[in-house]
Amino acid sequence: MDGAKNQLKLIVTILVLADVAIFGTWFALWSQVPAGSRSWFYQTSYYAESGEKDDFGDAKPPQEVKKFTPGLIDMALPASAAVTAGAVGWLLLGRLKAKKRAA
Amino acid sequence: MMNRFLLSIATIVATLTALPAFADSPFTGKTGPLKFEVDSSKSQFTFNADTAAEKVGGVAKGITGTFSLADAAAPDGTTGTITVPVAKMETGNAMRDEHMHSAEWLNAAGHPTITFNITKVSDLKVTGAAATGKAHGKFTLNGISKDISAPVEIKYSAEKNMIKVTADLKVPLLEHGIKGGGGAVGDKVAAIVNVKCTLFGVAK
Repeated sequence: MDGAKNQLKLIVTILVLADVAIFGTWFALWSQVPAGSRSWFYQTSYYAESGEKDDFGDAKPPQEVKKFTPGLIDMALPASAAVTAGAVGWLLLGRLKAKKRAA
Repeated sequence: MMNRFLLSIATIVATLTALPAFADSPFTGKTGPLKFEVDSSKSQFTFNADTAAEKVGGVAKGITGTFSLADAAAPDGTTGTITVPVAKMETGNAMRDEHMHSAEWLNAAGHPTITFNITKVSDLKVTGAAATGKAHGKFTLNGISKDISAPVEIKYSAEKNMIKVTADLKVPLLEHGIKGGGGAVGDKVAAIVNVKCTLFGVAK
């Protein structure tokens, strides 16, 4: 019983740490992109006002900024789901082994 | 004495009749035909479309074209052709770009270019070397041409002998036969795409 409890604690700890790492990394990179150019999907570049002036003294149109930003929908959430699925699988496997041992 | 008086009157009349030609055109001091070629390195279209998840923005580059005027004093006679290569439209996400260029969307393989043929400019309001008005013409996307009119601003730099043309277009995707994957247009993706054109033309 203690073994199962310990395994559950370990899995929950791993899940929390993994999610903090996944979503923390995603948020840290995503928040560096200007508000109007952020995407919920991954981006390898975005377009933003550069503050430069064109030949007529007007603000230049948005310029390309090459920067990889992971996506929440297509990267962070699937990664978290995969880690959670792996953890649940590990937990069920542990329970199954414990049952077999008890039998 | 009488001759001088008549000469003065004639000079005033000549000046007054000549003035509107320049005052109604941003091409101050220019006469006769003008032609400008689009500077591809500086010109671009930015586009925005609302989707269920977010507002998708992108840029179109590699724009080519010309603007012509039969008479610099009559900018309402401005005509032009602008061509945008579909393959040069990007959103910063390779997978999304691939979808956008596919046959279900902008169909880059079947119709590799988007064109806007400007036939005239109306409602011109000139302020110095700048003018605002409405550009009219045919917009061809996905091989389907539709009449379109869009607010336009024309600026002219006499010093550099170049123009800047900005226009805001609203492009109805369904009218151009673009329904999107699984009929997403009008459902998950907004039926109208907002396009902001910033074009620089160099005198030819």
